[in-house]
Amino acid sequence: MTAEKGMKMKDQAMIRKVWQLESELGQEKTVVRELKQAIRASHLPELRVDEIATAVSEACLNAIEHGNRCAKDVPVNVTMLVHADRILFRICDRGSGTDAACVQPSADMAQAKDKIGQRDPRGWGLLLMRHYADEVRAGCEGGEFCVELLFRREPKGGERIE
Amino acid sequence: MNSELSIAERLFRDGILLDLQGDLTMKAEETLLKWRDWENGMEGRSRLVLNFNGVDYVNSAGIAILIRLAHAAQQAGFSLYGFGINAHYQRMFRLIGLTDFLTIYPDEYSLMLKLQG
Repeated sequence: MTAEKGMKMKDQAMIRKVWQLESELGQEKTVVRELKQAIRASHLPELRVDEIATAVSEACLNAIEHGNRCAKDVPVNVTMLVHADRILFRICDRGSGTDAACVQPSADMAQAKDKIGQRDPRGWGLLLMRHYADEVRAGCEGGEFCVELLFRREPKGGERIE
Repeated sequence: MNSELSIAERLFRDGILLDLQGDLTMKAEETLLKWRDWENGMEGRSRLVLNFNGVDYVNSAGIAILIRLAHAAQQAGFSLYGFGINAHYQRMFRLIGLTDFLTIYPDEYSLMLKLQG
């Protein structure tokens, strides 16, 4: 085997899983339950599994609620690729992606302290996604709006929280 | 699918304890925020304790509900406590600043010991 081929082999997803969800609140729990089962097998710490599950759950919720406006028959498509060094989720809806700006770096946890002072604060999902994922990308493709969440096995640096 | 939130209420010396069972999501809004008229206080009681032992799933909408309850507590002048919160949600609550309003204890025994000691 050549080195190049070896790298390609190494880079192939060890686990690939696809979900198609109805756009109904609560459907995201199916993904949460099944992704936890799948990635626990790859020996991540339990707290990291929970962080990943929360971030993916929030991306699904956004897709269901804001992307597809809770139109039950409009699907949300979720793909999970587990690689040796990273886990990638792609969550796609049929919306226009008007929330895309919200996943830009300006939306970070520094906003949380201001936000919590508001009487009816919303938008925690985007902040949690950005905090827990190592990379968040968003864009339109083939009539869908997709958010990609990438989680590295070795986090980008140090303790994440507080 | 969602496991809808249900609540059982217990009274103690100067507070109210709510045993929460189910998911803390948007669907819990009516159940928790309208359980009482929180902004008008708790008939002189000064402590509200939330038991999270029966809560397995909290999402961003659930966080927003807890923040609204925390604001109501501030307005009405009662304190908010929680126990039975798993490690991940404890970290998440700290991360977003909710623990400035909600004091967390590991279990009911240690919390009641503190409150009634």
